[in-house]
Amino acid sequence: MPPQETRGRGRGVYVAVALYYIALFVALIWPVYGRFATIEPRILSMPFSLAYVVIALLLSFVGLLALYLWEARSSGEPDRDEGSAT
Amino acid sequence: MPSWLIVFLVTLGYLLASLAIGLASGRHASKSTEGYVAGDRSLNFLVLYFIMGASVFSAFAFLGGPGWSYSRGAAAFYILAYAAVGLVPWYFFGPKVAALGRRFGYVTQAELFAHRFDSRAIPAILAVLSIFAFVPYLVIQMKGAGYVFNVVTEGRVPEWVGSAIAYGVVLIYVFRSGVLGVGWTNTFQGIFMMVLAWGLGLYLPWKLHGGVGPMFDAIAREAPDMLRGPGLAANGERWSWGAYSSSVAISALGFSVWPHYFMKIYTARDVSTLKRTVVYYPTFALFLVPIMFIGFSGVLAFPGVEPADAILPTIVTSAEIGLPPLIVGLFCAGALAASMSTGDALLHAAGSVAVKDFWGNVRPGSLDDATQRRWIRTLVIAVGALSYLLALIPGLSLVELLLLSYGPIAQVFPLTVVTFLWPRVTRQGALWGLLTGGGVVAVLTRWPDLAWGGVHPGVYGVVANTIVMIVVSLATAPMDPEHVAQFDTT
Repeated sequence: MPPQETRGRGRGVYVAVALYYIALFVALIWPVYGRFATIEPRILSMPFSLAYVVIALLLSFVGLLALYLWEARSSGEPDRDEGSAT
Repeated sequence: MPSWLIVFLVTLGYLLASLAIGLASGRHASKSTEGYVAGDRSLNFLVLYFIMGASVFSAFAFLGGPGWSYSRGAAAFYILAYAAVGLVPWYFFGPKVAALGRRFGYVTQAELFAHRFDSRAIPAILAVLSIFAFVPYLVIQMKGAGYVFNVVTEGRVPEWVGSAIAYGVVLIYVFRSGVLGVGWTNTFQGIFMMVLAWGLGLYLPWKLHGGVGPMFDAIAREAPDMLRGPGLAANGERWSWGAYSSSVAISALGFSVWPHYFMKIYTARDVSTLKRTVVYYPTFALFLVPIMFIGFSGVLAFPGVEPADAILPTIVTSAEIGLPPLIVGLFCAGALAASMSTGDALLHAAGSVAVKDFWGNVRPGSLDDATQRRWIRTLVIAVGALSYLLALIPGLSLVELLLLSYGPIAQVFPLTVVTFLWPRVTRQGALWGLLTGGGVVAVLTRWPDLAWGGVHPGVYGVVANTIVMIVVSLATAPMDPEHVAQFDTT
């Protein structure tokens, strides 16, 4: 793949990840969370108000793990930014 | 042997183990300021993971978390909510900060901003803001240690003695070993806390209610508002969504820029270590779930416990639960671990910030490396003593204190973002933004009725800070492009 195309695709991935985390943050505050901060349905015995936040925590983990693995796969080295402050 | 004595001896055993680990780990660092403050930039994933996890989950989480779920129900979920997103910005700006730190030799947060904005005023202001935020946070940790000692020894060890014992140990290993002492004790303490939190968080609901499900069934029947967002306010009325959401927002913004965490970016061995720490951080944050269960288990079984932050030690030591003294002692050690693992990082950062960022900019070049290191150590003790005196003041809630300290700290977030994303920001813009944000927080904290909808003062501060920073930057001459280009790490 030509380098410019690779860079463009990489930028798209980072924008998508940033939007994902902005959406996750918005989902954790009012008014979105206000619609889901209920007792039912219960998940793993927890009230939905708590289970919802736990799911958000897991989604946060999954999002960054996916990005980390994508970086590792696309560059061969996940720490390609190292020493880039030149 | 009386059971309280067994508890006390187990706790002392834990303290001695922490001391031994803390002292032994410092032998590997160089004798320079960089060795003391940044561990010679050599920390591996395991240690950095536990430093971040254990430093964040402190007496506030271990005692304040159950205290909030016990007295305010779903309001406590805000802690989990901000933990879900709070460290994410590190993934993006952390590698840039680390690279610049390695290149220019930074060991504190403000050194980066001092260089980028070619300013002595900005780091000095940041140092003052940081110390103002550190002290209430340290007070939380010390009060937590005092509570634990007092309750588990059935009042035989007063709170002031408990705090003094725990923080005497912390001061010794931070003084001697610097950040490596903090790192390795945090690893030990973090493992201890995780095991205890999950153990107690599942055992107590089972013992008191027959399980987590029956516990929530009973609360849903007797006190359903405890389980519906946004939970309850301190006075027992329903909390406002404005206060809940702004607490999540301000904590999430402030989380990644607390100076004592931010400094740990410089300690990472490499960028991969840093990124993996951020990726796996939520697995540590999950330990807040059993912490919540502990508080909920006391809602119906132990009504009226005051202060609410004492609910965990109260349940653990109650005859109804009947835990053997050895387990109670381990709990006591775990709670102390929570307190100390944050307190040590705060003390270490307070000394470093005061010397490097404040004095180093008020009187630049006046201290050589060895003198800096000596002064950092002296200030570790001075800040510890000041916080200890404040911890003796009764009647302050642990979580309230933490929320108070997030307001000033969150003002650093806009500065961090523009440093990497907006080259046009100028020294004057950054300076006036910080001053405006800090001023707004101070005014609204002093006169909270002025803050509309119960929204946290820090949120108003961040908005005002950002607007002023942009407007003033656009109204002033751009900084030298060659200088600014040094910070473009994209």
